[in-house]
Amino acid sequence: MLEIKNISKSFVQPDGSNIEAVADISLDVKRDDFVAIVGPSGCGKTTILKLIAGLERPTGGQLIFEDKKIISASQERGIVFQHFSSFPWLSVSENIAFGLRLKNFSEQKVKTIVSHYLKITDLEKFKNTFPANISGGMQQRVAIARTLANDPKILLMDEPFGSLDMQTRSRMQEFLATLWEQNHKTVVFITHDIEEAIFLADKVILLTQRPAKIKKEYNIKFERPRLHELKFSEEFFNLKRAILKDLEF
Amino acid sequence: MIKNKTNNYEYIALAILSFVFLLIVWWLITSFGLIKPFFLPSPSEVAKAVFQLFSQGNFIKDVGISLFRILVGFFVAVVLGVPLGILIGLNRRAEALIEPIVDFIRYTPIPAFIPLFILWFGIGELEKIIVISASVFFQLILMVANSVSFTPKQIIESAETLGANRWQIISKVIYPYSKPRIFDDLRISMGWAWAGLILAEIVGSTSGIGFVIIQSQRLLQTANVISAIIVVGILGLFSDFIFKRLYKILFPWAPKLDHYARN
Repeated sequence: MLEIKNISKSFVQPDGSNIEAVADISLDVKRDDFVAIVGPSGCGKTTILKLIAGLERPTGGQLIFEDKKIISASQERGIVFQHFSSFPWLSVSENIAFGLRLKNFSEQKVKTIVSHYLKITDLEKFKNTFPANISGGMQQRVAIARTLANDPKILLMDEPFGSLDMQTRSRMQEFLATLWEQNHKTVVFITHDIEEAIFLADKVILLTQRPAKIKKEYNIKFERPRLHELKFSEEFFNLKRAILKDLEF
Repeated sequence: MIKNKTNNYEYIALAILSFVFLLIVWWLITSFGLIKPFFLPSPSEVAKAVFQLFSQGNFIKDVGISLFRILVGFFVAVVLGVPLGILIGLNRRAEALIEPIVDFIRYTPIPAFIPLFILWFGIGELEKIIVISASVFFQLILMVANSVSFTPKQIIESAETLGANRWQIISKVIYPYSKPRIFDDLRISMGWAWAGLILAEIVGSTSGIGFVIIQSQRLLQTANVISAIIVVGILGLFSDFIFKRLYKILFPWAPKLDHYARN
């Protein structure tokens, strides 16, 4: 579904020098895969996601999505950012409806889709609230619902739970795992949290320091549905330790 | 936030206190005869003058005509300045075309243009309104251009991946996000409108608050000059208050005004 072929990306710094963020990455993502990309902070993970989204162009190589070269942002590839990117002037339900209104869906259709996603993200009580008046975890659920309501073919997530506290984070991971198990969707998930990656993904990709290269790939075979308790199992812990060790050297 | 917190009552009490202090200093200066009443009449003289001005129908008419001019002049400046400011803020080419000219005019004092305006447009309402509009327009345009540049990149990128095209990004994301800031720009530029109004009415006018000021000076009625200035100040405060109130009503989702960092 998504082929990343030898992409690299460098940025020109204000002083004129070049900084290489991504160096020669190739990756295949298949339909309904849940891929997590893990790497040290500032290694260029976000750049990879923005390249897939079409928000940035690669300096070398190419990205092919469903046999078409990615040249710009598209609603086929929805993104959820780390920081709350909800539209502050719109209520929760209008946030979710944003993409649908751009497509000029009928009022009835918008209503049906919005109430469906309000329900699965458990936000019905807050549908008329402004994002500023709900918690961080809820704001991220709004962002997820807004992206899902638009029915993208692939869901890109850039450390979506990175700014949440531990408890909320854990609950959101379980929420996302369940959501994915019920609505199979292709997901590329960026995180610096190895535990989060193992818990959520079928495939974990470990990146090196900047410029980011692929260091290793792991297939995660834990059964689904995955629940919070999985994190306390011995296999989970061993895998985490193995990846952590690979990360260091 | 460096500013310490105060509750509303404390804020109002302190604000009133500063006015009372000014009044006491004024009263002391005049009652000890430090400045002759001809140059600075006592507060009670001025209060009397305010009362007299309002009891003669003419002054109310002058206030009315001033309000009419400022509203029309301000409206024209907003209608032209806000879209142009948005354009400059979002488009490099438009910025290159327009901003240097705006900067040039912005640094040339509007009073310098008045003889020219009178030459071109006479001394009727049109000239007054143009002076007010020009006083606001060139300041407002740059404030708005600055205000639209605050929309966070992630909000714009989110909209792009939700399928928004360039025009929809501007009309459905940047504009609604920037509206509270733009509205606050209007509040601040209202001050320029008042300055332009009085200026326009002091030069070549036969009506309005500014005319009352210059006419009273000619007739050596210092108390009336000060009264008219006080009336302008109060009307200015009142317009500021209306803007702040409207802000809360129109933008319940927006941060409080002083949470915006204004440089």
